[in-house]
Amino acid sequence: MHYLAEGLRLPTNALDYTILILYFAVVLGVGFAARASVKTSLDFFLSGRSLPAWVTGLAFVAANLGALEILGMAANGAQYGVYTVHWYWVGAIPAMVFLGLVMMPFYYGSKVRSVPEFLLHRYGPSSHLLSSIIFSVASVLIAGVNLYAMAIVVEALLGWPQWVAIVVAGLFVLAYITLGGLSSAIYNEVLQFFVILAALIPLTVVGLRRIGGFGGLKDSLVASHGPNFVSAWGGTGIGSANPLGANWLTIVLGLGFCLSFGYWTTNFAEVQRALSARNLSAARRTPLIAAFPKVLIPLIVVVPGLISLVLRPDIGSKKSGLQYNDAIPLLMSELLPNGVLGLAVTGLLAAFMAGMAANVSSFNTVFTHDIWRAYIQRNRSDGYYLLTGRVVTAIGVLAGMGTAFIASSFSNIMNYLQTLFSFFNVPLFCVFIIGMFWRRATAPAGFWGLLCGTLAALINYFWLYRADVISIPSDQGANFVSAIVAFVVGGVVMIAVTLFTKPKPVESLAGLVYGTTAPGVAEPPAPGDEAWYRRPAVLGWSALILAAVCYIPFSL
Amino acid sequence: MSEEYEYRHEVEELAERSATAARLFDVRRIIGGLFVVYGIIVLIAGYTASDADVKKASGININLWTGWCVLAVGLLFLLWMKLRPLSAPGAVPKPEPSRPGNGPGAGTGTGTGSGTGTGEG
Repeated sequence: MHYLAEGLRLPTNALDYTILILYFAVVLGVGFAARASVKTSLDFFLSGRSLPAWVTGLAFVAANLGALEILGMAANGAQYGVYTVHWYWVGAIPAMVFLGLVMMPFYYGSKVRSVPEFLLHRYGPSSHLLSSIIFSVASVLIAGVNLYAMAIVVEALLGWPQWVAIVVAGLFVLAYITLGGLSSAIYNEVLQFFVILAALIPLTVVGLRRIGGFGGLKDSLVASHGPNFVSAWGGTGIGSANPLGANWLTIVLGLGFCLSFGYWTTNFAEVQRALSARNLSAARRTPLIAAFPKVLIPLIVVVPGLISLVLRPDIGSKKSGLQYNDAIPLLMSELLPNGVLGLAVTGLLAAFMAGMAANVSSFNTVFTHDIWRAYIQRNRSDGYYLLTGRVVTAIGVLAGMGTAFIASSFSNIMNYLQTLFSFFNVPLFCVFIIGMFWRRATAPAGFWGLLCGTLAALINYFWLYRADVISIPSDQGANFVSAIVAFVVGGVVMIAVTLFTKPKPVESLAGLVYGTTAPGVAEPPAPGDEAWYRRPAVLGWSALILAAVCYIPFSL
Repeated sequence: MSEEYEYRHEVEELAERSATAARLFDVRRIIGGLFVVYGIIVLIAGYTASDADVKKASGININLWTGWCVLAVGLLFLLWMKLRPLSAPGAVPKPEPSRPGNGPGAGTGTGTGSGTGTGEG
């Protein structure tokens, strides 16, 4: 169970509420203003494939920067120390670069409108339907987790009853997505990105100043937790114990490869942002542009988590009544005066709403396009599907409100999310990567690989790990292992099934498999796309080098 | 085989009828406008800050610093929009030589700019 301490109530005043109310008004205004741009279902679900790369890029990073991510990563910082940077530099950047450089030509170039739709054309209806259903269920669950977490935080910080927070945030999300579709979700995400920066940067600056800067932070943590706590790789040798419960191999393979590639390259809530870009070049640049802010986000998320540990060394213990998840709310209440405090509260609420909006806007697309339209009501007019999308948005938000209680069984919300992702995205990534590079992989192989990979991860986590059949020191470590299990089982099943089934004719795979091109004329690049700083390879490799350089100060 | 690719034609057709490119407003106007207002509000808090406020924030008037930085970011967005406007509404969404300016280079530039800017506070 997750209860924030009573003592976190913030001394908000009228000024803070003015900032918050202004934000809610603008969010709704964006929805109304974007409404005029929604004419077809493509406008509603993919912004008409016409947004510039910097907008989709910032939305790509903001869709991931929900409040669960912010509070959860600060919590991981306080609990596991500097190891948390692995979620960014090994666990995000390589996958984002891979998505932009390698996978995006297949996604965007094949003109699919969703990630599951790619499966339909590459494999066939069985894996398509399975993946669409898994994704829809997961999205609603995660939206519910998000709402529940928000209600607890808002209750503790502002004193609103939980149901008020759930209803207000839910209805605002419902309103602006129903009105403006993906464009209004993406525009609000871009706005949210800057509001979050304006909230977290002052918090980090004031916090660092309080404890004597980076030097003071490091000295205090080494004195209280030992040198490995401020090192990225120290103590991660195989067989040695560390708080994360993982070794370098499970970090690199489990987090850095399976979990991370699964999440970043096949989670439609992310990929959808890139698919709404205005041409292939902009779509490829979307995750690459997002990678640069992503490299630097630990500075304003993980660092506050570490600061909270110095300010309140008893955080996370029963005695203090403070959970690790309270790290950022704690700093807000201890360090920020009115004014900036209003910005911080707004940033946090903005992050909750945007995190939920990303799930809802991808859920409505997959449900309408890949389930309703593909299997229930075919061949209706475009206007019919546009209306369906709006109705499904409302149903999705209401279902999210209803499922909010599921979140309560884990103490660290991040574990819960990572658990869901390790089950749902890793087998999908396995099916994608094999399907993109191995022409022979067959339709039944796609279906059975997806199903067996998902089941294997579930069995490993809930049966072998939770019931103590195998011994893994922590939930996070178990997630990494489950992800590896899902990938390996999915891959082995795919290869085995492929050998005994008939492959699809090569002509039907044009544009979907490596070494083939989509039929028809390629879209011409926009003028200016040839500029060296817009070339995907330059952007991608720079991001990788930057992430590697960031490790240096924490590895020596 | 042509049936296999029907969905691609459909997407092309919908993209032609799409209204987003022509009708969607410029997000820089929203960010710029909101940040200018936020900057002013936080500056008011900064100029009326009590000693307790300053003491709480480790001895710096964080409202003043944040206010100026937020205001600057807001003005930069409005300036950027003025210097490189989107093509006129209703225009055929064909790439024109004046459009690529709102590409990623400038975008990330402003993004990181705001980050380091406020960071100095």
